Amino acid sequence: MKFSNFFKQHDQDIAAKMQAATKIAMNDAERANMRVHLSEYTKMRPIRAAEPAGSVRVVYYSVSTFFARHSMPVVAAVLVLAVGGSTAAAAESALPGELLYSIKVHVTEEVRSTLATSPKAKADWEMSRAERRLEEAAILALSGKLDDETRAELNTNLDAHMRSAGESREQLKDEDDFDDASEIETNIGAVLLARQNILDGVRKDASSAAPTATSIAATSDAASTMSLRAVPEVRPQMQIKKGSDGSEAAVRGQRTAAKARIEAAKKFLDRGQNNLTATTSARAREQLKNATEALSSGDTDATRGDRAEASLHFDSALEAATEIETLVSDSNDSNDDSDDNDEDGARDGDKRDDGSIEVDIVRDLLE
Amino acid sequence: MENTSQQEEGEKAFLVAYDQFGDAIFRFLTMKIADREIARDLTQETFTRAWDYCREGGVIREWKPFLYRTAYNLVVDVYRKKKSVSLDSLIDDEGFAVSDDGADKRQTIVRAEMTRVRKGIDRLDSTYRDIILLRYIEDLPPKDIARITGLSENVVSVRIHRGVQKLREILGPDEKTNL
Repeated sequence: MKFSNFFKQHDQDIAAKMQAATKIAMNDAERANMRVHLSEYTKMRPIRAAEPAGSVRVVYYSVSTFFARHSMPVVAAVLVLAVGGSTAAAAESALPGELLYSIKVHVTEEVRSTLATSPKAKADWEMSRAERRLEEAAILALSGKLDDETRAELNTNLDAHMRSAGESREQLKDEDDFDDASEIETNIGAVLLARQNILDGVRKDASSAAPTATSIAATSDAASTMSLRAVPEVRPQMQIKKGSDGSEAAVRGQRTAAKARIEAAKKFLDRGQNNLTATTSARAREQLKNATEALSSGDTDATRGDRAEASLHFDSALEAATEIETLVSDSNDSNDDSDDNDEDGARDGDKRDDGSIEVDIVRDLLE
Repeated sequence: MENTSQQEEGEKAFLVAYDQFGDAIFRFLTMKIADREIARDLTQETFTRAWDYCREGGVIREWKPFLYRTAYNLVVDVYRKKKSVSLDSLIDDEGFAVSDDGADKRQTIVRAEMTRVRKGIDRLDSTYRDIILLRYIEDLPPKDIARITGLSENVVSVRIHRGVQKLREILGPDEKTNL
């Protein structure tokens, strides 16, 4: 066949030729090994079923006692057999302070760690876990439940995830895999920046608050020493913006924070128990849409290698996502005021019923 | 009891999808990120995410586009490697097999032409490269490619057409050998 005619053939001929030129496949052992892992995974995380509240409670208390006496790996190994899939499944969406949260963090996530087959995969999973903690923090913040105790618990877990990722990074360095080690370093830097945005609030001196991947890599326990605590005067997204030095870690930090806030907002708005007025809810969803679109644009820029443009889009995404928290917070304050008024008399309450949307619109305009 | 049956059916369908598309997803990811080990991890992650979707009550009617879309998003989400990937060096350097049927001479010619096709694909602009790979190597219709990449079906069709034109230009005039 002549190449001048190559693409004049039927699609199937083209496909066959190109497929032959790009023949890539796993070897038999890899394929079989992955199949076993996936089969185990389906059994470990079975399809969700409605969970009776009583059984959940019993399991939680037995787990709590067990945690106090055994190391986490032992707990994970034993409980994966004892807890049962449906409880683990129910735990997956649990938040700090809820009954099943310990199972989520110390059992199902630990077991999944054991499925990671390489130091890189382990580090990636630990970073995903860190992002889960950030998302949980963002959901709690939206619900007005992110108190100091919960913040401390989430910070402790985050430190553990980053230490674990740091160990994998060292392992990769030992194996002369510097590319992957560097990638993990960058991701740790990104999570630290996102943590500042979501969990730690903002430092007054934002310019000194931006850790770089290099500084993070300098010590093995950097994650715990980099912890920056809350100073709430400044809007969170501004901190990352000012702290962004244009590095890969800084841009990814913006993205990580934006993504965590977006996912949190989705879950919060979809729960249907958020006591938002129709107008606030609509505005929040509009902001969520803006944030999601900006994140997507940032991803496209990042894929193209345009870091500066990606940074701008991620910053927009973060700003829009953070605005949702402000909207929700204002709405709750307004509801509280409204409740207070209701106590004063039915007349005020009636007014609120008639004019709630109008009031919201005026407030929104004033913002 | 009902849930047990649902679980069994779900597991069966899931593993059938793995048997059917596991290698294709691995190939797609390997060509996207040029790292065999990471591609293997991401292949596993693609399938675990698909399972997570099922276990949350999601229904996957067409596994192939769903898996490709998940893998595509995973690359964007988890692994944004900036350097361009050379298919030719990837396949040659890592010892992946190329079609080996036929006599030695014929095989040599086939190999040379395969290299030529790979190099041609390598030289395609990334705007067209992903689309061409998804269309002709992964055998996905424009409609599915549109869903995977977030582009409109029209844009995908245009890029396929232009990508093929560009590839033809890159490959140049008549080759002296017959296949």
